[in-house]
Amino acid sequence: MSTIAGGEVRRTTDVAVGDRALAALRDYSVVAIVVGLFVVMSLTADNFFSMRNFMNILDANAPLMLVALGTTFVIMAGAFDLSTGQILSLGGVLSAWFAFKVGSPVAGLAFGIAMGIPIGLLNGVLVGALRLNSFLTTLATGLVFGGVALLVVQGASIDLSADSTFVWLGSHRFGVVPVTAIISLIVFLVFWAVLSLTVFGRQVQAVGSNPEAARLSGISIAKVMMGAFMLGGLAASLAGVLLVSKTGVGNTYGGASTLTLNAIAAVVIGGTSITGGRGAMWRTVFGVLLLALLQNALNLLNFEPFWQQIVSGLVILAAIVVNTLGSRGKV
Amino acid sequence: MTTAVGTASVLEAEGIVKSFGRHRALDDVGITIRPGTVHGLVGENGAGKSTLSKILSGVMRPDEGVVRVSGADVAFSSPGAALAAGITIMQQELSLATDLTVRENVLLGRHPSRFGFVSERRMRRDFDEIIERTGFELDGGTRVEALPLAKQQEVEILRALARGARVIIMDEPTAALSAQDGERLHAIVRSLRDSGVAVIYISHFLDEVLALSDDVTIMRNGRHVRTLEAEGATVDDLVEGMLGRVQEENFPELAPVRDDAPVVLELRDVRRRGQTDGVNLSVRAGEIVGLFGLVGSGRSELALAIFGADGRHTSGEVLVDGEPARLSSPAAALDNGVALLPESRKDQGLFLGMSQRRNATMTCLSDFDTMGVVRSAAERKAAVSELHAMGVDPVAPNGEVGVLSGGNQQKVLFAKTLLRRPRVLLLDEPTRGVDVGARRAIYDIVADLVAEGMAVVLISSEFDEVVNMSHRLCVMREGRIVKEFASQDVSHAAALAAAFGVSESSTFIKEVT
Repeated sequence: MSTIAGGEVRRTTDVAVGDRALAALRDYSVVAIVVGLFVVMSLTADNFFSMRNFMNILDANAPLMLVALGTTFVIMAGAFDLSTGQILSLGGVLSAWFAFKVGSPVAGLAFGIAMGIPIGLLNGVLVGALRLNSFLTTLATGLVFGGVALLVVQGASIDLSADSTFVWLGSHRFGVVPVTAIISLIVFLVFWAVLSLTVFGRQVQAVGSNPEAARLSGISIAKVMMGAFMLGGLAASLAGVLLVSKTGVGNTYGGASTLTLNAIAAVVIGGTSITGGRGAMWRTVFGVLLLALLQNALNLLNFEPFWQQIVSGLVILAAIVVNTLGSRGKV
Repeated sequence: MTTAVGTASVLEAEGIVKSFGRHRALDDVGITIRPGTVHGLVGENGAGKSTLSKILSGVMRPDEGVVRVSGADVAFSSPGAALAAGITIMQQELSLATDLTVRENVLLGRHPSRFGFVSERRMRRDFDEIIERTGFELDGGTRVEALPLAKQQEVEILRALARGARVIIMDEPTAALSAQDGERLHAIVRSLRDSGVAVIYISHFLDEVLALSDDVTIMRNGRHVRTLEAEGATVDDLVEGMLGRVQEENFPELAPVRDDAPVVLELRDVRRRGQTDGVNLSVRAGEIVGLFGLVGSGRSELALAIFGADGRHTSGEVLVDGEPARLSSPAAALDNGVALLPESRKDQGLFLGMSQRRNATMTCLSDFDTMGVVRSAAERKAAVSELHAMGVDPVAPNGEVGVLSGGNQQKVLFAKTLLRRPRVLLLDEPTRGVDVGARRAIYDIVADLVAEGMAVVLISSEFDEVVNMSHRLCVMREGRIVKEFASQDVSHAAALAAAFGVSESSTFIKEVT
């Protein structure tokens, strides 16, 4: 009897371990893919495994990282922000314009970053308080923001590349470590804390998970949306300021729409639910890293541009398939 | 009852086994459905009724065992395959395209077309034909969205008939219906049976199952307990089979309201916009006031209005402990000590993808808030202790709520509603979709709360529940309270007559009760 009982117990534990391993694979698949890509690249590409290359990757992808981190709040709350690329463009332009206007590079940088707050808030009011569809609303406001950015520069660009203070933020490095990477890390830590540890973070998750239940739990959907879009706007304008500060030339950003979509893709690739309510800030970091490493890998391996596009698309697709099937409980 | 059970079957299952991970949901289950009969299927939540019905209807595949239709082995790969064999299921969540019309839904998947274009004329003709054959009263041109739930169910049944269904499985069809609509559905089920269609009828309402069925199959813990003829069987027989023991008393004893108990909740002329006269009601400490009425009589709307969730649609005064409370939002209501357990735990109550703990504390996060940061340890402790107090089993603070059984989910919802003890508790259908065992646990919780002096408003479509779990019974019709009874001496007929606005001695009321 005792042997049988013992056998039974062990068997159930084995199954439990198996289940847990499967669940872990599903939950952390993005981590596995990033690590796998990293290992493969280290073994196959000569010039991949160097601190300088890693830092270059982080530097080049800081804008995407920041926008994606901000977008995580919006997606977690069950909405979309399609205007982030344009906010980035506008934020960058405004910083150069203001720095030029008042003659202070520091004031200019601060102004450009700060303007993300009212801009994001505008989106938040439209979506949260007026209950407009976020997809269409931010598509429209994005057009407006992009237009305003063009208006500010009047078709020309504002050249501050000679101002060493203005370009410090975007181009300085402590040794090999770029300031942009440090800023990304700080923003991640702050956003992670806000989403995971605060009342606001809980409410973002609740609104994304079930808006009606959130409302009947005494949560103001309007306030949550305003907060989420505000953080999204702030992160985007910060990213824009970094970009402009890197070159010192205040011009509108050409890849705005692509960046918006890549940021959303990074959030979802990380494993955050596209319908809201489920996800985490660290996931977005891995989503961005996956896109960034892939880009870097294809460059180093000298893939033709069209192959780069095709492979990137397929990898994103694969990640989404894994996540979607996973959330349906089938993987 | 000339045919003995099992001699002729339209649908039959034998030795069905189905596991989800380690959990064995069905263990060697068999069932035999005779053509043209109603077959009741009863058991507690988790007994395997839904799993079995999903296997019979092709929604799921069994791990082992065989399904036969008219004696021939079948292996359904999809609900569509089952439907082609004449088996269809009407689940609790209806599967209608709500943006389309009744006609389009009924003919969905078989739109009569000409060169790929839908022929509106032929659709009308086909639809009218079906209506005539079946005797349903449905307007083909109405959008399904605009129909009440009971009518939507009729659309779904009609759609099944339009495709030649021989067996219709109904999973808790009356759970969300008023007494009147439930009665109508019963009539439809009987006429389906008389026309030769077999109905598998799953319900928690045991007397309903007995009244309606020819055969009843009882399940417990994924096993077939027994199948018996409904004639001559009693509710006690069923409950004994379901629980494996004789049923205890259904409702706890409520302590009488003390004579000096103060009024806790007072409503003065609360009315919805456009309504002529409002609701006046007072509830004292330790008192449960039951609200009875038909679906659409304004019970849930009144609860939402008191809770401040009805926006600008409501006017009137709400007083809590004699103090005027401007309940302009749920947040304000919660601050004033008013809590609502909403009608639908899935749509209005719970965050199914979130953890038990996060659900439990969502309405009172401000109690654990230091400068915007959640004091995690204190929050966890409060959540765990409340989840235990409500009898959630197992309490897994970080486990997702969506994986729990209906009864457990409802207990989590109670924990969420009660974590910060309210003065006034509004309960809207607190035991909907909850099995017998969990029901009693919920009643006990409510009885304990009123014994502590809480004022409770209980809304329920189940007469037994609302009359046994209240001190006073108010009957609502068209947004107003039309009649008030002392709960211990009100008959079902009297309450129903008031709800319908007809005389108690009318033949209709006699038939229904």
